[in-house]
Amino acid sequence: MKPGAGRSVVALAIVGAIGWIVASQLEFRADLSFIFPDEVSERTRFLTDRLSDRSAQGTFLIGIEGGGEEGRQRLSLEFARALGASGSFDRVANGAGVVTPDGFEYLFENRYLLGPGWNPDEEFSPSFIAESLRRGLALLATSPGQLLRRYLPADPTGRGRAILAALSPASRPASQGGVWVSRDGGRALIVARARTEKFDLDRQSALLDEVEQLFAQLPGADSHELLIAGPPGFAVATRDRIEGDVRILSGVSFLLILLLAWGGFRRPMLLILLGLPMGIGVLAGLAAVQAVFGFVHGITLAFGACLVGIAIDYPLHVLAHAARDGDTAQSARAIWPTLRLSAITTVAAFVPFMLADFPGLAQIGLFVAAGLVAAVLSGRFLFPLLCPAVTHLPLSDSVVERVRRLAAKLRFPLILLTFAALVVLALRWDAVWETDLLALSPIPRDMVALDRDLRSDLGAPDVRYLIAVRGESTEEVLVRQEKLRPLLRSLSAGERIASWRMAADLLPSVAEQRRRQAGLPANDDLRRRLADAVAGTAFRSDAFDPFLADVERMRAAPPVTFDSMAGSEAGDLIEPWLSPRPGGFTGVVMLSGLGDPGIVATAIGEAAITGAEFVDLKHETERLVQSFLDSSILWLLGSLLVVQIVLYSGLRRVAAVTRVMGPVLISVTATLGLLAALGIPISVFHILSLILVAGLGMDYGLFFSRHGDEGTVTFRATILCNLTTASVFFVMAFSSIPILHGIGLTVAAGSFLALVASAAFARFTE
Amino acid sequence: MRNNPIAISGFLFFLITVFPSLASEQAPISPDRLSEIITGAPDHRAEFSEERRLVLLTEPVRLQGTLLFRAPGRFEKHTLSPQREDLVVDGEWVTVSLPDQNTEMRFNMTDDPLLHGLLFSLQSLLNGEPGRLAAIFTVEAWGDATAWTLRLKPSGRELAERVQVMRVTGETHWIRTIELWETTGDYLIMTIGSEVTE
Repeated sequence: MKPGAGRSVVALAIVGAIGWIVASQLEFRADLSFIFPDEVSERTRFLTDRLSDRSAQGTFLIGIEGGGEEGRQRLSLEFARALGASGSFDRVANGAGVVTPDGFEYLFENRYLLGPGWNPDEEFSPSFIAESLRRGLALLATSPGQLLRRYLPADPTGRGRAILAALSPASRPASQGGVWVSRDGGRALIVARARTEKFDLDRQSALLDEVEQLFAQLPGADSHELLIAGPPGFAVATRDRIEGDVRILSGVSFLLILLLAWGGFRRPMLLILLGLPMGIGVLAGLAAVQAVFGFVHGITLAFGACLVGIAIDYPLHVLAHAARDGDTAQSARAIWPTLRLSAITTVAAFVPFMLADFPGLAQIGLFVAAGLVAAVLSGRFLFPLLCPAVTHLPLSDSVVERVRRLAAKLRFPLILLTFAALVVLALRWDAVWETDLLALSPIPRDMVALDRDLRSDLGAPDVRYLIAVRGESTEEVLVRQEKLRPLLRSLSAGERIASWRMAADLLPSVAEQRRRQAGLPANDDLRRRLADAVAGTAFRSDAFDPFLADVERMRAAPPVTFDSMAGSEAGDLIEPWLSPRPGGFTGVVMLSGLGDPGIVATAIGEAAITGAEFVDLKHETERLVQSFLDSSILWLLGSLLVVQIVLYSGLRRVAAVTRVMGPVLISVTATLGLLAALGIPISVFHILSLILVAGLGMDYGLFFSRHGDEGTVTFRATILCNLTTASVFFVMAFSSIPILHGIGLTVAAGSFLALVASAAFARFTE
Repeated sequence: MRNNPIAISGFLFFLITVFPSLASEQAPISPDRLSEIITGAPDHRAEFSEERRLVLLTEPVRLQGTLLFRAPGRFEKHTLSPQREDLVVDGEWVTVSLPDQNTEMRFNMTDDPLLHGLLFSLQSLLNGEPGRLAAIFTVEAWGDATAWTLRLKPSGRELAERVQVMRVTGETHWIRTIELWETTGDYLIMTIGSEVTE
């Protein structure tokens, strides 16, 4: 048995136990709230509302492809029925069915108070009533008439239809055989909303499984393809994709490290020992974030774990420096001052982020700082205990010597490269930065495209423009929306907008309802008009007594309010349109089909209706992402400053600090230039990766600035560290997750450049 | 009470519910025997006329058109007057199109109790599966192979809320009349003319 083997088993068992405890305490989140600042402005709140909306979180957008037209329709019908019968979904729509939406009965009860406006002179005119009766009679000879017949006695003029029309979406999806289909007809469409209250990843995943199983059980399902988008589809696909990528990445990393441990050091067991400080670092990072924030964001884990991945350098340094006598404890002691300074500077680079007002940045900062501290400590004190001796080192002295001589020749090309990078950055400065929110989310690109397709087929494109109407009470918001209506009408008549939707279209203000009540005819009057219209038709004279009774009831009924609706099923229909805010309520007016948003914005501004404000959500999103980016650049500069101070307090000589920082700046600049030259928009994740690159560069620079007589040893150690890091991150660059791809590319290219630059400018190459 | 259709149908309803055998004056048929008589119609086409006597109206609504049957389970009801309507039943699914109004709807027959009762019984009998009727009705039968009468009483709550009772008459595998009494007092009778086999 090798020395330290017994200890290794004990240490692994302890780390495993701690890992299990930490894992059991974790609470994960995986939404986009990651990038939202602590203090959200009133305008950006619409974004957070939309992202956290319960009904949006549980809404599945489903497409069925393949097979014949008739087969797809049949499958859509059977599938929608199966979804409805499963009990997990409270709203399933595919265009078929004769069922009115939940809450319709309540609206019907109050149909003259609610819904779109009506003119008392027309609504109850003898000619309108007579015309309605003619249509009603024709309807009775049809099958739809059989279905709707029960509404006729109470509603001969079809007011219920006007209410129903106000509830249906402005633009309907295309329909084939009574079933929703995509515009080209090649895809049947279903929308299903889950019944559950809680939408964590497990629930979404369970729902997704259920949807897939229900589909698979249908006859003929195997010759068709099921497409699922919408937030639950996203969440699960993202997790699966990340899991898949992580599995491949860790597999490849495993092989690389195995290759190093076996081929380089002739000890396969080292594979586990080399990874141990890294594992301890991840656990420490998780524990720290959970303790401080109460939850860990998925992106923090993915990103943080990658960053802490550089901790593999620590045990590698210890091993590689044990060249003379193979005693790792001795080498750990010898390099500790350098290792310590390197770790402290890297941690210092991430400390400023802990103070950022974006919880996402703060979490990553804390995760990396805590993780690296734990990793370097275990590299220094635990690793030599478990691996007391090393007998064989990779890379012969002659190879190292040749590489070293090559590095010296690269000084001029590196300086040239840096200038080229600066030129590229200066030329493309405006186009360099990523302002697309989706680029920051871990959602795979093809899922985003599928979602956009299904949404546009369903006639529900992403809403971009809206008018926010504020008020102290729901009543005030509704009154203000009604004041806005003439403007909306004229914008619509002038074809500046295609349509709009707002709360006041369904629930008028109390004042408006009272006005409507005053317009309802008195019982005797209406009875006379109705009798005139009925006379000479096939309708019995008393057929519409329920109509008379309903109108009389609504004349005296208390007006419907937001609060009185809230308890009923109809409350579900109005609640998304009126949101409580500190000090009042806000109602959104969704606008669609804007020709020139500028004209609409100006018109709304000029109308100067109190509390109403035009909002461009895309613009708000970009502003939010931009401020996130700005803030991370600011913190990047801050962290560079902190690093200089820490370095100076460790090295005590300006020349030494310059020797370490020079190559760091070269590699960071060159990497930025490379990204810009490749046309890759630079997001906050690239910035954070660059800080890591800077940390690695300092690590290399610090080791190179140690005493010259150990040059070969140090050089070998550093090359080993870099090859391991760069190849692992290089593999990551092939990930389909935008974030992982960004980190991988930046760190692989950056760390390699950092090594070359540090070596080229190191003292021993002179 | 001069020629009031409601009163007449109400009286008929009273007769067949209280004195079912009086109304038919025929001997009972056992379920086994019934499935020997009603063995399923071949593919065919037939004229139909329909009368809806509604409490809302002083005179019945009369419809006319063509029925089309394709074994198994698919039939089409094409109404020609007073306005065109094409109704296609395939399995449980119903498609209704009104060409004049350019509308088309699709639904499951169980979505509406009334259509469910009507279409399900038509479908089961044309298919030669009178046994299926027991899924939603209590079935009683009288007569013989040349002239039989079925009395269908809803067994489920949802159907019973809308449909009081149905009566179907026929000879061998052909259906002659279908009557339906609603709980609201509305009444429907569909009469099917001689079939042309295809």
